[in-house]
Amino acid sequence: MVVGTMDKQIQARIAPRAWSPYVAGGLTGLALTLAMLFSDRQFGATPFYAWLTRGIRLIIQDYGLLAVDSLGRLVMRPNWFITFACGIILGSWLAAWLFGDFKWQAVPDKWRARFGPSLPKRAWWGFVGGLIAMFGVRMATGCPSGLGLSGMVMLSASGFIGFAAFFAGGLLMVRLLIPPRRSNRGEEA
Amino acid sequence: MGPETVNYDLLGPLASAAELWSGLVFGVIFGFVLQRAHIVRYDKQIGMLQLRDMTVMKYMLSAALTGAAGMFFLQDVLYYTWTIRPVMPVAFIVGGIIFGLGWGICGHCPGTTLGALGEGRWDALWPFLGGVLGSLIYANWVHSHVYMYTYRLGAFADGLDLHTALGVSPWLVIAVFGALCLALFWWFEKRGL
Repeated sequence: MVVGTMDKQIQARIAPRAWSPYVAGGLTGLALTLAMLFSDRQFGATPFYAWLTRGIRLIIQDYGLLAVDSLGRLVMRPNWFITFACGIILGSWLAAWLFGDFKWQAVPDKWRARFGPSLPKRAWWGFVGGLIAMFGVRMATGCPSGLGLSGMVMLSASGFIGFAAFFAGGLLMVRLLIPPRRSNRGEEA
Repeated sequence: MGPETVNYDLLGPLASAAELWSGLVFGVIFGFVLQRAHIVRYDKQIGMLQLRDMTVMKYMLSAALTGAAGMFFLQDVLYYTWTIRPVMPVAFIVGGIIFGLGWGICGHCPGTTLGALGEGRWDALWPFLGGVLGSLIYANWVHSHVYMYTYRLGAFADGLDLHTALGVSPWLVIAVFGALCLALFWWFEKRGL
């Protein structure tokens, strides 16, 4: 516990301040407009998961572990959304590295405060949560960026309905898992 | 970009280098900004769902508002057109709520999972792996049994714009949306959320 507190003090001293969410949101809005202008594409992370899923199925069922078709071409051919998803990882790493914000962390602070420091527990429930979330995303045909954000910028009803549904489900689950009174312990995070 | 509209055909021609580089550049920008605003973190995502720290909501609404202004600028000035996705209320509401339930457990959404991995918060590895399996389960065993309901009940196959539905200029909708967002932001700041 003492180490944890010290960590937190050191972190508070050296960790760079986050950008304002308003500025970050404005930049994102500008970037997705430029993506539409230059590439005719909308931001979205779901196609990457769909691509992985379909690739795994093709490799297992039809093409084997070499992952090439009869002409020797790769089965999992990348497209805009795949490099986009890889770019998110790279861009986040770049920002964290440039601003001295990179940290290997296995259990987030708020999780630790509510559910304890156990790594297997975080791994299991993270896996289960991710499974349920992505199942829902595939049913809804998009995630908060692909359906919500990209829909809202076009003033499409889809975006607003999706956004409301995502938020409703999330609010409900967090209310069940972290009842308001007990969540005080995690507030410092 | 639903399963019906996106070309998921992995066996099609290889995308051009320009397309791949463009995706990478925009992905890097998106990931960079997400990390700088700390949107990618479990603590921020859960903080919003607890209604205690609205950083993620501020970010989402600012991005939607700026993006909407940008998109309709493109439409009005450069005569850009786009197709909007069909409105499929059952798919969005049922799928959206299922997503939200999972999101509340793991604290990452599909895009921020990737960003969290990039900044070393590898608690996002588990949602990523679970996500691939969840996607596989839905696509392989569930989609063919449910899409006739989720995609069709109450659906508008051609999509529905708010400004078309209301019969007004998109700029009026953006102005009202903007005013609502600003009021919400003012309230968040006043409450210190």
